Amino acid sequence: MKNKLLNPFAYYDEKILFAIGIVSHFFFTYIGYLTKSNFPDFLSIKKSVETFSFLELIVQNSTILLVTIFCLFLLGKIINKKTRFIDIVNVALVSRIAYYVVFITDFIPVVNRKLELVLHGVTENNFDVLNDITTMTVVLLVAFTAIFFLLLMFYYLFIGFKTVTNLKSIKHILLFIGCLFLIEIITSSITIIKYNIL
Amino acid sequence: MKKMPVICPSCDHELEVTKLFCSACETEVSGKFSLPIFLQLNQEEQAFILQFFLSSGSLKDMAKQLDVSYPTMRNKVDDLIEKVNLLKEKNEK
Repeated sequence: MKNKLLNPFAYYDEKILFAIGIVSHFFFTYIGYLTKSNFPDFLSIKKSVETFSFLELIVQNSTILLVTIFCLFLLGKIINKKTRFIDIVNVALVSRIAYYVVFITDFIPVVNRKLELVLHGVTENNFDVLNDITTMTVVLLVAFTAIFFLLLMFYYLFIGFKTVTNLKSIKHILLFIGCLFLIEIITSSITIIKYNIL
Repeated sequence: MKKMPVICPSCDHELEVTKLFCSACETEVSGKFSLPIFLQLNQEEQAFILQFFLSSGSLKDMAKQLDVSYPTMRNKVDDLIEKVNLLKEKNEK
C-alpha cells in the first residue's frame, strides 16, 4: 500500500487514475469557486480580487491542465516514442491533487481570521500585526503547508513522468525541469493576456 | 531441478559451458560453448519472459497478473529488450 501511494502511476490502472483525476479536477475547481480562489498559473492558487464564475474557473483551471498535458506529452514523445497520451493526462491530473489539498486551510476558521488580519494590517500599513506571535505562527504554518504540498505535487509530477516515459538520463531530467518552467511561463502569460491579473 | 548458475559466484563474470553429457550413453563432449542468450538472463528475467510468452505477449494481461500498471510493464519489457540486444551484440563480437 505504501508503495502504491508513493508511486500510484506504477501500480494503478489508467482508468482508475483518470477517474480519480478528472473528478478531483472538477471538485477542487468547485472548492476554488466556494473559497473565492482562482488558478492564475501552473503553480498558484490565489484569492480572487475579482469574482469569477464557476464556468470561468473551470476554463481557467482546464487551460492550465491542457498546457501541462501538451508540454509534457511533447517531451514524453521526445524521450520515449512509446509514451501514451492517457498516461501523461493522468500524471497531470493526479499530481495536481496534492496541491489542491492546500484548500484545506481555507476551511479552518482560525486560519482564515488570522490571514485576514495580516492582509488587512499590511494593506492599511499597520505592521503591528506582524509582531503578534500567534498570528505569525499561523501564517508560517499555512506557508509551510503550501510549500509542502507544492513539493508533493512536484514529486508526483516527476515520479509519474519518470514512470510513464521510462526516463533515466540526467539530460532528460534537465529537459523535464525546463518543461515545468515553460509550462509556468505559458500559463501565467495566458492569464495575464486573458484576465489582466497576475 | 537445480537452478543453473549463469554468473560466477567468485568473480561475477558470466559462466560458459565446457562440458556436455549424454545421460543415455554417457558420452561427454568437451569444449568452450557460450550460453544461449535466454540462459544468460537471470532467473527472474527468464521467468518474466516465460510468463510473457504464456500471456500471448499481452502487456495488459501481464500488468493485471502482476498487479502493476501498463507503463511499468512496458518499461520492464523495454529494459529487457535493451539487455537482450546488448547480449546479442556481445555474442556476435
